Amino acid sequence: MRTAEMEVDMEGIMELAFLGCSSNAAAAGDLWCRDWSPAIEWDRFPVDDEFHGQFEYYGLPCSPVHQDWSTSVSATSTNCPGTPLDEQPQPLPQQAGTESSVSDDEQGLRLVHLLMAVAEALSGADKSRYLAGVILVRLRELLAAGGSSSMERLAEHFTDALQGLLDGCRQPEEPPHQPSEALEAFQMLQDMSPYVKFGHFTANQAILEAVAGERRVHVVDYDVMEGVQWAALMQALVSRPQDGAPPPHLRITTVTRCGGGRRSVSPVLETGRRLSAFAASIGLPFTFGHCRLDGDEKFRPEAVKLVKGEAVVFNCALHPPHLPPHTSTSVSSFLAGAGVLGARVVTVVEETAAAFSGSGGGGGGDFVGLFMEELKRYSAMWDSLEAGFPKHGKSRGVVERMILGPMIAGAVRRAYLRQEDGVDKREGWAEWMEAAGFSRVGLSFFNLCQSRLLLGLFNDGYRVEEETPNNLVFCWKTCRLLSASVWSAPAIEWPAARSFSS
Amino acid sequence: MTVEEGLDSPAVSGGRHGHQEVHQHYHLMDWLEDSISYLPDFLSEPYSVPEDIAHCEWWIQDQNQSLSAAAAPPITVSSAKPKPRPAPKPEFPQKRKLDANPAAVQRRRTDEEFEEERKPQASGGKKGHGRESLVINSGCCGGGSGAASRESRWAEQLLNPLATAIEAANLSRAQHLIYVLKELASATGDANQRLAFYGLRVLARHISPGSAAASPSTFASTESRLFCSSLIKFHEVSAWFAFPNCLANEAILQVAMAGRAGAGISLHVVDAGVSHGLQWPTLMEALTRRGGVGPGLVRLTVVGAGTDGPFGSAPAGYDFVPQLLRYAKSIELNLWVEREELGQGIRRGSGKEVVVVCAQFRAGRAAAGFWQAVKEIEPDLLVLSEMDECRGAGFGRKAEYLWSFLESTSVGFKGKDCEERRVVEGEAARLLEDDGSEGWGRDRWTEKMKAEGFKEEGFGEEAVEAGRGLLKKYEGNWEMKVDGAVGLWWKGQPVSFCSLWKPAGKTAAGVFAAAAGCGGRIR
Repeated sequence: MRTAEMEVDMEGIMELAFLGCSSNAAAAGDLWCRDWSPAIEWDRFPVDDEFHGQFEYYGLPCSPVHQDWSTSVSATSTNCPGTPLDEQPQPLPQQAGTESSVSDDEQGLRLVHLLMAVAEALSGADKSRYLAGVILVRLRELLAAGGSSSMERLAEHFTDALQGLLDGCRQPEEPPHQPSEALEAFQMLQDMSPYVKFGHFTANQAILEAVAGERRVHVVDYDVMEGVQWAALMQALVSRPQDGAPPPHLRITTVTRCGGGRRSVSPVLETGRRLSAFAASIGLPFTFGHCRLDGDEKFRPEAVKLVKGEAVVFNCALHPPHLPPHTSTSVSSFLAGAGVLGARVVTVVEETAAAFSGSGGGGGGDFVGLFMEELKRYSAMWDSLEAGFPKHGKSRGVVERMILGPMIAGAVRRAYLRQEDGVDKREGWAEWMEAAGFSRVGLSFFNLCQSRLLLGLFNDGYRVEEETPNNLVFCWKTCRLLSASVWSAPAIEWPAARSFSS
Repeated sequence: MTVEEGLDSPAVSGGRHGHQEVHQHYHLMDWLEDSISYLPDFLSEPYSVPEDIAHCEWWIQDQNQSLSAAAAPPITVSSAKPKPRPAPKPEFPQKRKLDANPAAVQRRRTDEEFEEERKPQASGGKKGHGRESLVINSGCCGGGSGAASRESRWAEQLLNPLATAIEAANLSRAQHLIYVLKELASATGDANQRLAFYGLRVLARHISPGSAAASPSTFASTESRLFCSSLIKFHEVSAWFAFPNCLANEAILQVAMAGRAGAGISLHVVDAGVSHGLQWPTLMEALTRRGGVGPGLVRLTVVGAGTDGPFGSAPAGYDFVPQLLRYAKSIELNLWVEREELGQGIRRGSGKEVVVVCAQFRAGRAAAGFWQAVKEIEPDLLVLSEMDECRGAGFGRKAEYLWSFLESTSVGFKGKDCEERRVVEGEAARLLEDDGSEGWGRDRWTEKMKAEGFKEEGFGEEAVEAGRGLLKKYEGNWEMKVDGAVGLWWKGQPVSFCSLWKPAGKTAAGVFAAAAGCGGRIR
């Protein structure tokens, strides 16, 4: 019963994904403009009816969304001169009195300073976990007494994340909610923001271009998660106009942490099962494989089964929501494996370092800077969702709670561990890859246009920057959120013992 | 169709639904950027000051008169003195009434709850830290001055960086810390919160001088009755002053007793201290009880020894003399009290008298001619008690010292807030702003006294024993260390010392010979 239901959900996701991804299908054609036309209807998705319908469907309370987003938004807007989209200052709207807006700001300011102070207390030479605890108690008091403005909701997640550090749980807790709920929230995020699709689109397009004309395509994927990206790729492969040639065979090998083995396997297999079913439904020859990292989190290329003649592609998406914290060892060994396996192309999607240097604090240490970066990043996420869906406070609440909250916890934890372990600065993987001999593969003009199109479907404020020819950066206003880059692996001689199965 | 054109149409229609919102501002992000550097007008938002101390119910007796001699003395010194040794009993019947003060209770829960609540959950360390436990010395539990206890002193961890930032003129950093401290500070919370409150008040003044944030109550700004009850209460619950006063009295008593053989010897005590009269009933009582005969006359000269430092000032119009006289009468002691300025007419009496100058916590701010005047009196004994605060430097030292005060006081009051506590603490907080004195340690004082022509005397066995006995009645974290002078320590940190001196020219034997014609001596 349950699995059947899940499948329905999954297909829903995939359908959504296709709507967005259909342009991939036009990779080799010149009709992409026409292909896009159905997608224009996409803007129907986020309107009220759809969402209410979904809530009803998923058994969530569906009272009219009467939250006063407009007031809390305006409250924060009053003291923000000079943002790009702010040319016309708005009069203070509706009921929101000046008083409450001031106090909202004041409240936000208190929260930010306290959050920063916790980070400070947890970093540097004079670490004081005691002080951090004291400030967290105060934060909780403020949050409990406060309302539920954007800043307060954001601060609550960061408070939780810091509390997690203090309580010393290094591993993220198992999400308390049902997987189906998480999936649902994930779908909402996809509907509300190009955040997820930006990475999928850019990577898929690069992959499609790299394997054009191949009969066998093998994607080695760092942690497949729900596999949403691959459903889109499958669709694109099938609709690739090849003069009647059958679609290529697609093999996906996902690389996951060994993670104790109990619970971590079944979601992967479940994803594989769904992907297989979907591939079958659209007539795409498909194989799904699973490869685990070593106990020490190292990727062993030998563990990946290769078939002679297949075009190998590496995909490494380090941003997906609710991705368990990856160690830098696992990522670097994975990327290095691309060279060993002779990958055509390596696509990397990762969070960018937000330009939030020179944080007012000054003191503290690395962690404070990283922490403030994350605070900024997620406040941008908050803003972008609110800007696009001001009337969907409930949906945003779900996304925040189910997706962004765990992401924040993970991000803060990683920032902390980075300080603790002294590994892996914030520069991102581009530097590492260059040093390791990877070369940049320029993004096609088409890929760039596709990203812009995608963003155009959402509200104003999203931007994409072509930072270097092989790197697209996805931004909300001035805040850089994600970077997608394409690389080719250095040629590495096959290990002698390497054997192929056929 | 060009690509750009192609881009346009879906973008426009796609953005349709949100279009009217485009000009609304969703700027958590921008706001966040702005606010980090946003310097709040700290002055315009002064701290909420603890409720007006005026309405402490404890004090609501039937009248509101000043402590005139005629007033019934509900809490005057004498009322507290029927027992042989008026030393504090740490259980107070009045306490219940304090609890009934709803404002105080509601505003902040009791200290204990608070400290309990503020304890970070110490659920195991993470990673390499292993089980780095957060042992917390919340005032109530035992001593220990290890790293854990230091870590729990969070107020200093914020105040000291703030002081540094102010010194370095790093405004944004200072402003950030002020924000944080503002959130955590409270004049009615636990010792850390109180230290944060007072420290922030003093430091913020550096940023914005002339800030007229309402001052916490100090001795000078307090109403007389509350002032008086605060002193009494504080002596009851804390050894801070009670202990040095006790030692001083014991020393005085011994000089006086040593001289009693000869009849008609009077005792002349020059009070250049901060006890506001509270020190003397004990001495008077002991003189009559132990002395049997006792000195024929006790002269008490209360002198203003210079600028009023912390604990030195009193509410305008406060006068303890009538109380003392009344008490003396009740125990049939011949007491004569006068107020003088040192150096103006304080002379040995015409007859034989033992002269003791008792300088409790005030000599550090003594006026220029103080020591000269003392020497001219040729006292038989000089009692000098001072704070022992030669730790660290600058603001940090003062904050640490005030921490000792606030923590011991918190423990003394069993974590409960009351107006008396706030008055005493508000006064103690003046230690922070006390820019004049450098905070001498005992060694420095020893040098100084020698240079002034005094030589140190030891305490007699009895005095030491009396001190030890007294200390037993207080919290276990108090210690005494005898080393010529007698030091008072709180949780392994020196707080004050009480020392005895004589003019170098005078030998002990000489003193007593002169005073009593016999060879009694103080060891």
